[in-house]
Amino acid sequence: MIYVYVLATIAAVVIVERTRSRRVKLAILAALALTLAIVPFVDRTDATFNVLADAGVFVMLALGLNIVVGYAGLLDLGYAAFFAIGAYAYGILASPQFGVHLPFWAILFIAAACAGLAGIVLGAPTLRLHGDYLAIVTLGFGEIVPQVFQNTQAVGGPNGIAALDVPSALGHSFGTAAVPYYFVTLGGIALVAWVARNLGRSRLGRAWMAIREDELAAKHMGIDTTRTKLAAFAIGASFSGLGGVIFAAKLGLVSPDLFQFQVSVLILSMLVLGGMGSLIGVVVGSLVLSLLNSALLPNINAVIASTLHVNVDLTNYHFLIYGVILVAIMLFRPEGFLPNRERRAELHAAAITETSS
Amino acid sequence: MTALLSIDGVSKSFGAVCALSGVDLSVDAGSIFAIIGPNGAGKSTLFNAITGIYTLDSGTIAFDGRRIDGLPTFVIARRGIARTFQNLRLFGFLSAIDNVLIGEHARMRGTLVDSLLGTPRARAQERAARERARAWLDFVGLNDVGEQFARNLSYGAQRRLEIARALASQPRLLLLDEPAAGLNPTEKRELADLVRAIRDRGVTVVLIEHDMGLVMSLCERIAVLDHGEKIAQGAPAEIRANPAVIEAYLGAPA
Repeated sequence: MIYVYVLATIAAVVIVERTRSRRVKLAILAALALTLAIVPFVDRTDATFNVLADAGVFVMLALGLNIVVGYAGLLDLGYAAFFAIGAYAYGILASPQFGVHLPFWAILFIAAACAGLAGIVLGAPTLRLHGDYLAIVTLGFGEIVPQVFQNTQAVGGPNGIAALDVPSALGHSFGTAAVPYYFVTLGGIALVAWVARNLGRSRLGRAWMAIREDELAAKHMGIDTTRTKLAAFAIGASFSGLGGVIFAAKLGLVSPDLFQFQVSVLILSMLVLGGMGSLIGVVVGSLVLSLLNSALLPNINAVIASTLHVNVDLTNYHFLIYGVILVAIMLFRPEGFLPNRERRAELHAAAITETSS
Repeated sequence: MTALLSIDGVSKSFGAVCALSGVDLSVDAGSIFAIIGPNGAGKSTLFNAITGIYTLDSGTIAFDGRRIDGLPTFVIARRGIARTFQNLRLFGFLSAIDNVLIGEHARMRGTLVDSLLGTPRARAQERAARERARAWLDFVGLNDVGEQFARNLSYGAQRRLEIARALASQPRLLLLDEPAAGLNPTEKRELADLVRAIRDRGVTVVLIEHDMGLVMSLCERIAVLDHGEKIAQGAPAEIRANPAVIEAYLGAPA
């Protein structure tokens, strides 16, 4: 069933993107929201919503990274650091570790602010760097943050923080079911996608595009490039702070090994797969890659086991499979599955010049 | 008339190469002013010095009576100096109208919250900005290209688009770096008309140009640079008769 839900959702958002009439768009989005809200009451398999809630967190993360990489064109290879900061914010503020038990909903705001601030702290000294140099510094930051958590005994060192508080809403505890988290991620995605869409059409969004295209010309248009880039880092980071809180609350623990380099790469791959800069593309790319690992590969394992009577675990090869997918995308469709118009032209032209020169 | 732009004793070297040495210039408000000189004379360097791309080794630049040397480029742009580039620097993969909208950036108001939430105020402002951008495209003679990528426009149209983008910031001083390069005679005539129309809107224009016919017919004042030094300044007729200028262009008499 999970594939039906996801494919139906993808179909709906693609139709929304291709439709011109505002009324039809709103109608489809409303129908989609209603359906997604009703489904858990009809389908009682919690495992499905467990997978979807995890995927939802990654959709939020990918939408945040899209601000930095897709809109502003700043290659950030350490994005998981902000995810970690969000998750640890929940770990510190809602666990017996320090005896602090703030409500989940309050921590969402606090974590978004902390992660945003961390984005500014990282950005301020590094945003004078361009391209590859910026990527290397962000890569370093992405390594440093989990290391700091790992080496800080106060936050549990390598063991992290366990027994995190179970969130509650309107007096009802979330309990052990995944469905409440599914609803939280739905709300989170809606919020984050709406903000990202507003930004893309705003004065700030255009300033990001100008910087991505030609930073020197952007300065001549009166754009304060340093502040504008910092805004991208801060906003992108705050999205992943939100995702981190939901992730930590759902898992019930945080530990440094959850936020390694491969998480940053995974999120970046979602953008590449779906189409950088395109909201629909990023949502689809992140859903597809999340489900590949958590649902599709285990299912294929089961099919292979029952038909060929061989026991293989394809999830052990998931990075190989991501790699093959990414290489294929780069060769055949460098702009991603569902790119926006600007990026399609740009990345396609870039790929053609590279291969012909 | 008062000087809108005053350049005093500006020098700039790159290593051993002296790109500008002790250049003085004064541009009156409301004039069309040309900077000419052989290739490598320092003309574009002077533009880059004015817009804050280069820091000066010595000298001062004042705009409307206030020092602007040492300020960051975006602040100078916000003060009211816009420019075009010798080798077109459009945002190639954005539509023509988006290019002009980015030109309006500094003239638009809006807080971060407006951008995040897409408030009614932000949307109203956005609509108004879009209408102004269309008007600027019309003004430079680009009526039906709004949604096309800048890089897909013809060369002449790209030159015009760059001027529209610069005008969208509502500057008081417009710097045009070789605006006629690569244009055919008809396009050059249209460019001259456009520059006059810009001046008539109250914008002072300084242009770097190699086409002497265009410079002599269009500009009221001309400065000549050679090897980073100003060798002459005056009205077109004076420049044409100036022996130093003739020598710079044709070489020393045998």
